[in-house]
Amino acid sequence: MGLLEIKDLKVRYPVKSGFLSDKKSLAAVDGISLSLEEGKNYGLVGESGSGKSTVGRAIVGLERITAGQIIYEGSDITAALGKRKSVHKRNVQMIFQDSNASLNPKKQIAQIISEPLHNFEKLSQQEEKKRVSELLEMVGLPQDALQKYPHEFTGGQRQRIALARAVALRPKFVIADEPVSVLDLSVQAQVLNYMRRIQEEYNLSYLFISHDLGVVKQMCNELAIMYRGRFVEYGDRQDIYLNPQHIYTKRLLSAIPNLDPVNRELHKRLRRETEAAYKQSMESYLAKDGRVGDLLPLSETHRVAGKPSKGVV
Amino acid sequence: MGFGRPLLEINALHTAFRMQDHYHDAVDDVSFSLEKNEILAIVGESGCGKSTLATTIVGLHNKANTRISGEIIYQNLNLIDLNETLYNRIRGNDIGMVFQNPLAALNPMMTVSEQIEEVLVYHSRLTKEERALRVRELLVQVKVEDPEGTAIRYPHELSGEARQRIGIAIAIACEPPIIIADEPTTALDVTVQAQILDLLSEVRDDTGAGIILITHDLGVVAEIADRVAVMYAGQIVETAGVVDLFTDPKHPYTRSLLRSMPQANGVPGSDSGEFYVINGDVPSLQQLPKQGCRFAGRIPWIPFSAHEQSPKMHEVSKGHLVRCTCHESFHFEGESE
Repeated sequence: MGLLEIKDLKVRYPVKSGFLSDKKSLAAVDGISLSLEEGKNYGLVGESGSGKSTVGRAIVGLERITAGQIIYEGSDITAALGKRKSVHKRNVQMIFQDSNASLNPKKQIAQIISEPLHNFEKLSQQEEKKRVSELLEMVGLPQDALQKYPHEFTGGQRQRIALARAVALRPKFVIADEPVSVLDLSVQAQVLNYMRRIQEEYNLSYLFISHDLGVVKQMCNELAIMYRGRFVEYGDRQDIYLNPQHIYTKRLLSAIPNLDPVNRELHKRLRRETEAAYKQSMESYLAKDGRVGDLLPLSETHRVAGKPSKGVV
Repeated sequence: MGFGRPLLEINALHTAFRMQDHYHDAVDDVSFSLEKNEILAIVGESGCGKSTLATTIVGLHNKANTRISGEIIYQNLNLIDLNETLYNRIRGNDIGMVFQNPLAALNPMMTVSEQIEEVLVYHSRLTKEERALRVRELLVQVKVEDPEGTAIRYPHELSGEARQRIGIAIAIACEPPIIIADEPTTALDVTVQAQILDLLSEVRDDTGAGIILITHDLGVVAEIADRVAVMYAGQIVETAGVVDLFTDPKHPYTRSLLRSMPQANGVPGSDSGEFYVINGDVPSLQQLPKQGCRFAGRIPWIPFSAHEQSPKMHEVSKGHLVRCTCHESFHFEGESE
């Protein structure tokens, strides 16, 4: 039993299809289940439009959940997600992709980092100040940053500020939605290192939402591969990277650029073969309505969406 | 490689922007050449000047606050001397450009076929019927799904992938001998990226064009480039054939960049150990050191005497050039040479 359980989560968006027509809806997330344990890192990987960000946003209550449950420490908190203050909100925080949009441009860094403290903790002014400068130090920023505004920082620094705000309440989980995808390579490494250090200090878990299998590989213990709002494969790193079973996972892996120009023709051939196999057989992995089948166990850690016709792949 | 001059030759190019009454070099003493049938990657992080270099070559800078000097030699012409009218004949016709964000590069008010046709109206003497035929041919060449249907759509109705394919169709409409692609796959999913890169290499194979590929992604470079120029703080610090660059990188910046890459291929790495981080920050345009090696401040453990006073490009092997002498004694911090 995980600390945070997501059971058969569904998020549907209404789609207006015209005057007087039926109300239709589109399933962004179409029945996924996840069990997140303390101290482990998880990765949610998929292409744009797969619904991966919607899952993250639903867990912190930024999306209205159509069906399913979110269970935190054994109690169902699905209904409480809309409330401003709950234990769950305090313990599950989020970092967004675009720090330009997620940090209020009119507020000083001190105000930004102390906002969660204001909402949840009754600290004296002095205690609060102390805590805020501790947090700032933890993400490697100088104290004079406190009086500055977000636009005065680089993208990497802003993402570190967002990290400081996210961990201000010592949460158990931090959902990181593409936290480094807009950053330069050398800055990415820096932000990820801070995330790792903070994890060691606070013993928290990350749920990484990413399209980049490189970052996720280094940071996550377990991964879910998402396609059209469903999981196609779930497993630990070894399972996903060394023994991928679903054609969609294989295709995703084969498309990652290889840093080995000597063998690039070979790599290209393998990629094209996988692409051809994907085009040919993807349909057989899906039900008639295009839905991905349910996950079926392959091993203790590894689960793959079944082929509707044959069961396990 | 042909005889005589390369397709495009750039010598001691400087592009300086005016900021508070001072000019600052965003591109500083850049020289390279592009051959026919070659994909040259220019790689570097944001702010290194790679996009400024691209826009300088196609003459997209406002002369009022930009100072450009040096040579961009194409067919015995120095492009920086051209006036707008002459430049307009070259842009699109001789140099095609593919942009990072096709949604911004495409005109939202024009259908796909109209905007591809626009280039042909400017640069060719084709009749209306011939143009329509050519548009259709281009849509097939860039492998858009449903060419007829796509032709009459507007950019917002298309996927990111289809939009970038249209961007490429526009760039190659007049079969330019030179194509500049500025981060053409950065906004795309990896699976789509792979296909767009395939398309670019096919375009090269079919037309023999020389392609300058501007990118921050070393993975993309390894997949498609023939030759690579690494830029740091406005300067090229290393140029090499793609295999040399990845198997025997010389410049401390190139080596540091390669080391900081999170690797997705191969065996999963261990949990422990941090990602390699390059010391310090990229200097801003106003704070560029006027003298000496620009990377010196980021490798402070290397003695100052290892750097040249005014770093030059040195040939370490055939076709492999490195700026400054510091690469000879470079080692990572805490490791021996």
